[in-house]
Amino acid sequence: MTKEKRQTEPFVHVTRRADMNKWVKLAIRLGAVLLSFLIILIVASAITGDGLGLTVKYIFDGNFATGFNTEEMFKNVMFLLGIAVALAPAFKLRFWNVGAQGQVLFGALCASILAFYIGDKIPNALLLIMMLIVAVVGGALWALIPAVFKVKTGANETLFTLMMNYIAIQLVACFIDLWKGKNSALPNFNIHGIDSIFGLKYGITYLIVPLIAVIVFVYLAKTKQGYEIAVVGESMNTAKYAGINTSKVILRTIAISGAVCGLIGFLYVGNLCRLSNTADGGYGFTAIIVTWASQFNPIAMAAIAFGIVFFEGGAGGIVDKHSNILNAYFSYIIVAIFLFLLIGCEFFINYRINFSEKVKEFFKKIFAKKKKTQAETEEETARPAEDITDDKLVEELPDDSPDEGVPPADPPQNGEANKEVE
Amino acid sequence: MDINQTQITPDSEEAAGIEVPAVKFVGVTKVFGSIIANSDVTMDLRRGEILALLGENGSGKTTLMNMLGGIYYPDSGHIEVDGKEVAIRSPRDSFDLGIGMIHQHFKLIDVFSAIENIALCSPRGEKYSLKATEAKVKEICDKYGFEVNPKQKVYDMSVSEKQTLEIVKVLYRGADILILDEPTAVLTPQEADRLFDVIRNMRNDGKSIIIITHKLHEVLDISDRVTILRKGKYIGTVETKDATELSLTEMMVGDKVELNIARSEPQNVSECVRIEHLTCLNKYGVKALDDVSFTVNNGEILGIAGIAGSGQKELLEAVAGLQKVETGSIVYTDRETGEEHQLVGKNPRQIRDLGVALAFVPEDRLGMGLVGSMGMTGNMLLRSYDKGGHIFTETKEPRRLAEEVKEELGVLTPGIETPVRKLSGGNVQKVLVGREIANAPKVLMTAYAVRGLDINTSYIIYNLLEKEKRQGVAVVYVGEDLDVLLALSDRILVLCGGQISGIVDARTATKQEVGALMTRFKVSREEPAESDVAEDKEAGND
Repeated sequence: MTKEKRQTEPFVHVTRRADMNKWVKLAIRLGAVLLSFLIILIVASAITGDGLGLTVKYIFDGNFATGFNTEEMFKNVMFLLGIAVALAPAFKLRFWNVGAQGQVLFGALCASILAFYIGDKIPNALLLIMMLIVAVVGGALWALIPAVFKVKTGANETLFTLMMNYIAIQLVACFIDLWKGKNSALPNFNIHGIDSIFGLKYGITYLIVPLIAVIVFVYLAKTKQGYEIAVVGESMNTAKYAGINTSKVILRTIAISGAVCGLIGFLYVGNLCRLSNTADGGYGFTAIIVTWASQFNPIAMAAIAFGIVFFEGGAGGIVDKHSNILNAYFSYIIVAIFLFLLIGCEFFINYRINFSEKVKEFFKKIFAKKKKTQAETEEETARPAEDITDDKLVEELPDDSPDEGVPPADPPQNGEANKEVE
Repeated sequence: MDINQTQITPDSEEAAGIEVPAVKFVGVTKVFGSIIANSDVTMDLRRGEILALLGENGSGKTTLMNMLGGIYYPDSGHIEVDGKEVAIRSPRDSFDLGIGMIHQHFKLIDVFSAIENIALCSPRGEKYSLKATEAKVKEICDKYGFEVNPKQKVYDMSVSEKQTLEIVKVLYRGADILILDEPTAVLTPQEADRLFDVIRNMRNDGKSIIIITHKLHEVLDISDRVTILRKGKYIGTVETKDATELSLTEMMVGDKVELNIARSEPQNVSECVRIEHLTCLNKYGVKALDDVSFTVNNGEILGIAGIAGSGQKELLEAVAGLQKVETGSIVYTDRETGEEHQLVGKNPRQIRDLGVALAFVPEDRLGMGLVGSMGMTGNMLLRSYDKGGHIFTETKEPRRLAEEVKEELGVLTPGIETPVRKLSGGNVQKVLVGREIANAPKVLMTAYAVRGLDINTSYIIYNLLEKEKRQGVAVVYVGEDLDVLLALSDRILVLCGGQISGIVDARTATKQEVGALMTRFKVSREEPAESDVAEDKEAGND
């Protein structure tokens, strides 16, 4: 019956890969980051007309030019990381909590209410501790609302948590309006705020956020409750089979997720002594990507948070020098390029691209023409990690780089990756 | 029933003698991995006949039809339609050949109305016009006696109405050859009768119809000819008028195959689980188990036979504490202490906390028994993760256990931390069974423990069950292969439509006897066109 089968093989087809070596994975991801930096430089330079070197300088200036810049940058990294950490337990549970923004804001609001009404009546240390507690509890309660509905009625948590964001934003706006009175500025609270330590304004934040990150990851990876979260996230039926009380696990986990968001809200109010309805720094949503892209790895999470904030700051640096042609939205373009490549490279990790024999021959011909003199033996002993990255480049931009390295259709790991996955 | 087979449609240009079959399978083979779904099947469907395709679960009926429907492509062999060899590469090709398949799971869009769903399937090139579609649909309905409300949304429809819509849909597309995959499984007896009426109308209009079923009385009631498949192989075709339930059962189950299972005589048999008047509802609120009473004994393998969906799943899950019990009791007696525990109303953890050593290998291995994204170690933890007083999980013991299971059952895995999802079906099952046996159970329940496994792995599982039995464990083996059930079990309980249709001694029973109990229960005491699922209607009939 072969005669009835498809006559022509498609030029390219995509198949799922078996497990890839973790170093190769890392290399691909790092390659994607470098490539994104390169593209960002090219795009930014093309728009501004600056040289590449100058653009690099502006990007670093945006982050490190002054102590203020550097401080802001690391504060932002911590906030983004903190929210991403907060989302990790929820996502591990496959509870699509997109309400981090609301949970942060509500936590911040709870802390602010204390600061505004009794800020000057009780000792500062006591006040801060009370603010911390109410913010954490507030964030947890705000997150619990959709969780309770999810458990009781099966309400869709994604829509629910999303809508809760807007309620929180308006609620905060309402209080700001109430508090600012005749002034048009945002209300500043008459409190001392969190002390700086080690001469760093946000020193406490630098301590708390990584600490929480470590605690959350130990919790997820090593504890019984973390195990329950993983099982429930994977399959409700399996969880029931194992005798896990799924409702309890959902409520508990989402409360933890919300509590960490509330903590971030407290850090905002505690550090800045004011409330704004952008207290989450717009990171409530960005954090979703950070959590996902890191695949629950805390170091990756910190690295990605840093990357996003770095490029944001860098874009700010470029905009500063070209405010006549650029505005704040420029940073969205820059961060988008970074995220696009970072997430896009997962495709090459999960799938392999198979070229048909025809295409392979075509590439081989070109390769043979251009590199007649080079011996084949050289590529056989080639370095696996970089090869994959090169291949990826070639596969992505097949037109401009056939002569860059080994033939693209023939990545290393060949035999291993072809294993059948059931 | 009318048995006018070899009816030639009036418009057929063939002379009566040299009739060209509407569809002919020639040596069709389809293999999935190591599983042979169809092996060298040659059969035909005549014009203007109703052909019943009969076979047990897993006999390859649906796979064969899916090749006609364009869902699968034969690995070897070919299909002829109207005498011409054709290549059906997609459902679209199938439609173009005038073949319409009505799947068990309806392919309808819930938020669309009936007419919108049909218009969605308009033949290529036709203008989208709800009005024109409606007129044509009305014509079809009048012709064959369907009742379709064109404005009704699918989500408002009953199962029977959805099915009607599916049939009208394929007729609208101009199908001459209709395949119905177990159409009565979801219908009440009255609805099934109505369906049979329209099927006959369609046949009389010259359509060729294949109906997949494993209900003998329906076969006898509606079909002109019966084709029997067994374990993927074509067994034969008979004229319905010459067939009896007994002859069909014999063809369906086949001769006894001797299996090399060393069955021991039960030792120290005593009562372990006593189930009395157990009634459970399935997720649709229909009785899945109806007043079931039996005992499971220590040191014995109780086989449970039955057509899929006769209540096996609910029965095991009720004992495991996963299925809500409406009425009845499940009492467990500890063979060492003599303590009795009522299991009804307890969840799996409460049952475990009572000290009831109950192991359960569910049918859905990765969806219920295991956590696919975790390695063997993580899965070994599933039943015991909450042991010990501290908050951290203990991984040393499960890791040791994982190594042990890997070693003893020969699990092929790159490492014990490789996600079990990535293992093959047989290895997944070994992990699951290995874990369940490792906990030194006193009751071991398995659902379709060897489904999809190759022969060697199957024997590993059989021998494990046999070993557990010899250690005094009460083993429950839900299976679909009668040869295995007869060779492995001590007693066989046969379920039919949620009721026990018989408990037989596996050493003396014949395959025909068990096969008949699986299918005949209802027929022997009720009207022929009775359906299995319709417990609610049945109550009305009594």
